Amino acid sequence: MAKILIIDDDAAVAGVMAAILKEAGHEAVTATTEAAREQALRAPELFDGAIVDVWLGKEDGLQVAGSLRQLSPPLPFVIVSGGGPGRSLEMVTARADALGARTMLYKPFDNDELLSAVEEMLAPEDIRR
Amino acid sequence: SAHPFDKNKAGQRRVLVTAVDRTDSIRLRNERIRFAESIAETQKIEAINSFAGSLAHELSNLMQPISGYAKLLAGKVSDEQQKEYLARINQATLAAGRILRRTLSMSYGNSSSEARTDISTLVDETIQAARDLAPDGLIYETNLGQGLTAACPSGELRQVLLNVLNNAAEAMHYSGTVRVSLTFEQSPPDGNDLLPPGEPPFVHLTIEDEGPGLSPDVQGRLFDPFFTTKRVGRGTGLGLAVAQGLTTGWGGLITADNRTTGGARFDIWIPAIDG
Repeated sequence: MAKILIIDDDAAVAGVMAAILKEAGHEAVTATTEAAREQALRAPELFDGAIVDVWLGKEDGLQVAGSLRQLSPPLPFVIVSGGGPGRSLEMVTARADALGARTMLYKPFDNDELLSAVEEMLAPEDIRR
Repeated sequence: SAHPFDKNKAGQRRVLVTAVDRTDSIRLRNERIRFAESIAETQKIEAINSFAGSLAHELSNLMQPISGYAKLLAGKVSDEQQKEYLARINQATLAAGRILRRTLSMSYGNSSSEARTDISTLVDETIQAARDLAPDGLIYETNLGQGLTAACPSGELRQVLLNVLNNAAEAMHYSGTVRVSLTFEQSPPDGNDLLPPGEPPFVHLTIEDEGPGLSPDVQGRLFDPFFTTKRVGRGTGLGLAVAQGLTTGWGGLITADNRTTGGARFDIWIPAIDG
């Protein structure tokens, strides 16, 4: 069972994702603000992976995801998106791919989709894809 | 123009004729109007695109907990969890409903009510009501003229006015003076990038506050749907987007700027009905 950091500025969405992961036996920590995220990422080794929302209010979730990739060792992540002003889903998907996101989920997604995306993210490198 | 001179010695009549070729200046003026129209059109399309993206984002964020908790409820949950999950589903559904209702009031062309309002009286009444509700520290100063008639439905105008007044009061933390004035203007506003889509004359409504004013970042996004500087849960970010949608629908214009003496000012031009 894994410990997952949920980065989403919408507390209701972060909350339900945490509930789904916990129900499946994972541990989940939610970070709905920049400060909470920075706090959590002071010890990134405590996490096995992250879920990152694309649209974090003023911040760009894809940039945040990019910074997870710069960590050593990099923290794997799943990108979730529900759209946002001035962006097409295609644009977001292309950038998420470029950043090395294992899976991209579009809200609203099914609980099982979230869980299998997390499983895929946590799987060892050689059996991915 | 023609200017006659005295006869010369030979008795010939002389006239100085001046002709100015205005082709270029008229062409420039027409181009400027076309440009303003195309900017307005582009902005409308951009606003729709941006709105669609924002609406998708807001609604998908509300649907996610609904579907997630519904599925969790189908499994084994404690009584306490059941109550909590059901309450969250209920909250998200009601929040989506509020957004949808405000979205409907933002759509243009709602011409079911008569587009004719005694704006002097309506603004006066609305301010009276605002005064009754205002805390002691909040003062409204008005200069409203008399008998001005605006070509817009009164319900919509009241909503636009309330949205702008609420923002002013909040920006000032409910302390200070809000100045509201009304004037009649024969010509469209000068010095703006955008012209109102409607024809002059206009009723010009100005609302000035003593708040912190608008930072360049805020000013650029002020009318964007779902943009808010208020605390989470306090504002939906639709108030000024609604105000802009309604005002444009009447053939008017709403702009926001900083006062030279500090604070923000909102200018609203609405096509006037003469007499």
